[in-house]
Amino acid sequence: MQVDIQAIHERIQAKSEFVERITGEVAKVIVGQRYMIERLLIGLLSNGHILLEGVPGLAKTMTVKTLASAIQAKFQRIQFTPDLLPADLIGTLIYNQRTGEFTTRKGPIFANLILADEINRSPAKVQSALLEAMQERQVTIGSQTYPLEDPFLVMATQNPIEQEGTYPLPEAQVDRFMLKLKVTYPSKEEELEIIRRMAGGDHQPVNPVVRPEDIVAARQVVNEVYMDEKIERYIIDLVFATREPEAYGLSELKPLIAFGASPRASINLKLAAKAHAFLRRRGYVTPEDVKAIGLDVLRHRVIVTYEAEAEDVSAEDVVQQIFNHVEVP
Amino acid sequence: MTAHQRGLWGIQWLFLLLVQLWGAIPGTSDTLVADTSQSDTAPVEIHMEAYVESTRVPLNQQVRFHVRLSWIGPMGRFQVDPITQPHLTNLVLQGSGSSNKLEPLGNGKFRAVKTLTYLFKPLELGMAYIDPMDIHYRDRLNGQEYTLRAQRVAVEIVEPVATDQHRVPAQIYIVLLTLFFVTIAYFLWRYFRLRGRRQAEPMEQVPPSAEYLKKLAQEIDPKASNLGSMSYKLSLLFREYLSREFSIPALEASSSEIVQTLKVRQVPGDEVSRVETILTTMDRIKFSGVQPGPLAFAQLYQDVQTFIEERYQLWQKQQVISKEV
Repeated sequence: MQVDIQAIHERIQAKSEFVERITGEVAKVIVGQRYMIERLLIGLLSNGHILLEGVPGLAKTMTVKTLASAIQAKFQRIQFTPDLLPADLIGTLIYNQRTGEFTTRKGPIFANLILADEINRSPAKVQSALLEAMQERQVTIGSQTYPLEDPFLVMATQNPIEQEGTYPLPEAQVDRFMLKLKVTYPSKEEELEIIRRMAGGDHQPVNPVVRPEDIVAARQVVNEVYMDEKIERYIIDLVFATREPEAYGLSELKPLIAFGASPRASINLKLAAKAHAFLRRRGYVTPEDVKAIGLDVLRHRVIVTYEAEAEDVSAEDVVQQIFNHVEVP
Repeated sequence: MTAHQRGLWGIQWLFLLLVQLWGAIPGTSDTLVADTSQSDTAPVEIHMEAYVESTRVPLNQQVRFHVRLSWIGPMGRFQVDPITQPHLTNLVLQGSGSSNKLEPLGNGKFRAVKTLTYLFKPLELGMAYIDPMDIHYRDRLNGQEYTLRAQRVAVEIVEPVATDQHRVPAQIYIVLLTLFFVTIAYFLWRYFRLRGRRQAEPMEQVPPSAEYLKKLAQEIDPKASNLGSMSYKLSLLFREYLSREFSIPALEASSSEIVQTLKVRQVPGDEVSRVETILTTMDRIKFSGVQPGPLAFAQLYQDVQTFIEERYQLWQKQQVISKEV
């Protein structure tokens, strides 16, 4: 099948032009964190959700808020607490004594960008209400079903410290997040810039540079990004290597992996790689796109054994070893 | 009985006693003579000897007991009847055999000798005895039959001794061991001498660039019609070459990772830039779903060839410099 790569390329050039503008606007407020901003855009462009792990104070909330401002999207931050109820999240029916009728009050989930802060602090019923909404992209209040906003991106954070009294997300629910990001501390230079900018108090306003409809339209172009069969097979090899490492000459990983990545991982890796190619303003996917996004797609989908934990080998180490070992096409 | 008669009887009795005693001494040959002069034909004496080869036999060895009959005349003069097994004490029969021979006596006569040999195995330490055995024979000339009786023979069975009949002499072991060590020493000496020579000789090195220039010419056809698959082969060959030339995992790395690694290895910027261009072009050809045109493929082939050739020339220059040094 001959691909009209030139036409795709032209469309990408036209539709991806906003990427630079968004990053430019976000950079007015956020110092560094390019990795996180890029992954947020990948989540928006490939219609996925993001699980974020990082210690407090790394500008996670501010990044999402700034991004929402830049794309004119509705933003909601929900602090997950042990006493939070599903109704606090999705909304509820309120009885109006004057009219004698029930009226619907929509919850904070009705927004484009949701920051579910410290999702592991709420009990399972709240978590599953959010995850169901993420999956279905609609919520039912009473007998009425309401579609959620489009684009709809949930960025859930997990605090890796203070695990006392938390409700860790089950593996099946973690799998519903397209990407899991690990946000690290800024570099010395970045931190110097942060303190200068924040201590000065002269916060620059973030201008809206793109509309949510443009993001939705860009998704169509992302879907058109060409992925050769060789790349598809490479993705399959990577995912299968998490299940059958010995078939890829990685027998030493066999006792370290309890469960390999699911087919949802293959799907998400494909989608995310396409979005990554789009951000690079390329009409086709290369192994570089897969490698760039692969760790974020797979790190929360590979479950390591107790033996691995005892040896201080993380899922990330396992995935990294697989990427280093599986031959690129 | 007179005193004289009593004296003769006493001498005769003493003689018989002495003969008896002589026969009872173990290991001594017992010669009994049968007088055949009573026959009508010429009288012939037949002698019998019964003896053991040794009167002290170790427990783990055999007792060899022989009965030898001899007479002057032809072998067929006498017919010896089959001999029954002797009665044994502390011995057990293991085997027996017989042999005949004629010994010339020099005056035209012969002595016929018939020997019966028995092998006995001792049973325990102490004395062992072979009781007297009767031998019946018949003179074929006159048909008369005679009987001879062998004496009782005693044998002392002593402590077993180490048998050395199957033992290989120690000298043979020493010789074999010496030969073995000499052989090993020779091969070791030869191995180290060859290794030393090899190390002394300059190594015939083939750089990866030379090897892959050859492969490029053999495996990639720049004028091929199936440019899609040929491009893929070219890409694989180039990545293999980069792996060998710069010792990097180029087959498992993406193009940007390769470029980054080359930068870290401080490969000259010009070369890194050319590798980047080649890899980017290859990625576009491989993954964009567009078949390369003949000109584009020829250009890519040319770029790869030039890069490898230049690396080869660089290697040659380095070789010349190192030889001069």
